[in-house]
Amino acid sequence: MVNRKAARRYTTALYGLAEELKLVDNVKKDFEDVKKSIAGSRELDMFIKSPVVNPEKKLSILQEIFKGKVSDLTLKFIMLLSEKNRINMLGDIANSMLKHINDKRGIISANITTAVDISENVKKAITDKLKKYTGKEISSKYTVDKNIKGGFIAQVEDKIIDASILRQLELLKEKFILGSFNN
Amino acid sequence: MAEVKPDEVSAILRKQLSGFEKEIDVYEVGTVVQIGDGVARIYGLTKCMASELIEFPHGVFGMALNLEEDNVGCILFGDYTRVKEGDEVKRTGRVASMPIGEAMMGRVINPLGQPIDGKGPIQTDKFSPIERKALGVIARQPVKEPLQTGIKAIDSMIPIGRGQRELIIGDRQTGKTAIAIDTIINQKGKDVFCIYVGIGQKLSTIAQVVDTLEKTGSMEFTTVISAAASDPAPMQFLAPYSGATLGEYFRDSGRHSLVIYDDLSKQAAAYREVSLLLRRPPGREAYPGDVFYLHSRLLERASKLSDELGGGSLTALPIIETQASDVSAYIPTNVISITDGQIYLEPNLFNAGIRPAINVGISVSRVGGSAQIKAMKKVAGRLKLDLAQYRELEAFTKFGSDLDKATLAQLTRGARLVEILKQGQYAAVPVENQVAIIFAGTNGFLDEIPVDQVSRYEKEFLEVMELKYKDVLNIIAKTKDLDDDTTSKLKKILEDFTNSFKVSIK
Repeated sequence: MVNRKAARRYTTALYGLAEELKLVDNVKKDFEDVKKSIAGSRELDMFIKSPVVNPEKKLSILQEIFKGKVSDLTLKFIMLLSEKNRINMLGDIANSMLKHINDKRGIISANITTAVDISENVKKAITDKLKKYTGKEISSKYTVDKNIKGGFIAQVEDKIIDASILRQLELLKEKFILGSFNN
Repeated sequence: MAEVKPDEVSAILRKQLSGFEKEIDVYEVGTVVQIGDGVARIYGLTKCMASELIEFPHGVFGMALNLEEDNVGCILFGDYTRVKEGDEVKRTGRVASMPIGEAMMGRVINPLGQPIDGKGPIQTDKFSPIERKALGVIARQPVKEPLQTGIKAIDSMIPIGRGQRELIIGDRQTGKTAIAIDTIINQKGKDVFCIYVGIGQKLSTIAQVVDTLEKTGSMEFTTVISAAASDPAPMQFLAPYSGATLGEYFRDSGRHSLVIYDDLSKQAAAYREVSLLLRRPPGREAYPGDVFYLHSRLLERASKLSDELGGGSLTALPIIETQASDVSAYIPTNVISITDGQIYLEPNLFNAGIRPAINVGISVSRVGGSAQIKAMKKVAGRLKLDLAQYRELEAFTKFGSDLDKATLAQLTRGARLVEILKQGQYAAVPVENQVAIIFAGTNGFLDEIPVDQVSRYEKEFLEVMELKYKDVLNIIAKTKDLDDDTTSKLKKILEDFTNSFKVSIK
């Protein structure tokens, strides 16, 4: 909880600076990379989160990892985090940064789950519908889950639009349970 | 059970299925980030409303209490050990509500309205929110009808009206619950629906209450709501509001109801528990800042409706347990200031054999006379005065014969009146009988009877009244007044009876 709050503070500060310097696109790309590398390497994740490693050592290692691969601003930011002993929040900050940039640009992310692989046409149709529904640009992510049996589930922030066969069956079950009480 | 025909079953199934439309289900979700001790913190649920019902997995429900920047704090009802961190929860868009209706009578339920007495499901289709706002000024009218408790000391000096809130306060083991139960028993045949809310009690105590009510035939118009000591704190916190909701159903349909909250100090403690777990800042005695509002919004729901709205009423009898007779603790002072009076029970009176152990000196009813029948008002005025004078002079009783005649007379009178007001448990006295015996006391018919004979006098006198002079009692009961004719009749009867009684002593 505290982490999330702090992450948001760091995010707004960095975003403000990036906007001033007109470097938002670079920062966005950097954090996408950071997120990917943390997700890709368990060792890096453990290393960042470990409270045992000496902060100075952390600083020099991080410098080595990211130098030249990210913009100056991001590198400086990572060094600041490490100095303030907040580097363990890097993953949270990356997530929050990407979301913040999307928010500012009027883009929201959606997770769409289907039972089978769907064609580009259908994907576009769903995205268009969601765009109309939310009034914002949609950046969507697709996953396939056989368990839902059919239909789709779209999650936009907290809201879930559930048109899956699994949910229909659940609702039917509930209805039968209630029906037996009324009769 | 009747025979099940397969074709009927399939017909029903087909009917159900045909009515089932394929619809898209839209809901909002959040994730449990922390859970324990009956409270949970949920990330997400950005549009969640205060006190909204939240659905957890495994059929557990919760209620949102804290809406914070990026999380929602909520209390859980039911088996919270089955909820895990990371579980997905859903908004329901409803506030917590419970089933209501006549079918609730005679049942023992939990604060969510589910039966726990093993008598099968409750057949009702009406629901009402558990937290409701109290009615406004326009919907109300002053309290004017009496709610007879059948207890002489209360009905004569601390009358309770329908729609009133009268606090019963006292230490442990002073007979608080006994007064409440006696009051329920006395409502038999008076068309008052009773609700007994047991909060933080032993389950054995609740079972005992139910047993007593069943034995006296009072369970058929009573609902017992139980949030026992073993139930989680959120349930105990919610229980009185459920009681009020059920009572409001009867009130709003033009009937009368009586709700007993036994007891609110335990509810406050349960609320303190959930508040501290939700990290709300503690105040005096570690209670949260809104503990006054907790009780005021509950007790404000007691009311007497205007005639346009049917004239129904909801009477509340909250109970508060004090520690070592300390009424200046936080919760007792709060509830005293909210209610329309209090019945104060004292352990030393109880131990001295004065039962019910009501201290009539500091017990008050702020509704007072308007909740009494005229006949009672006439005899009780004198009673109050006599007892007040008796208390002032009580310290002199030790001097015995050194006192002047007037003082001695006061002391004799007082001692007998105190004796009259004693009463056994589950021994409700009808109001006309109360009037008769108090009339005897305040008019000096008992002054020459030894104190230890007073209870026998009362018993025999009321027997004689019932057997030989039922007409006089009926007149009092019917006209609710004591006119000159009845007064002189009563005096005549008392003279005769007292004379014959005196003979029986020697």
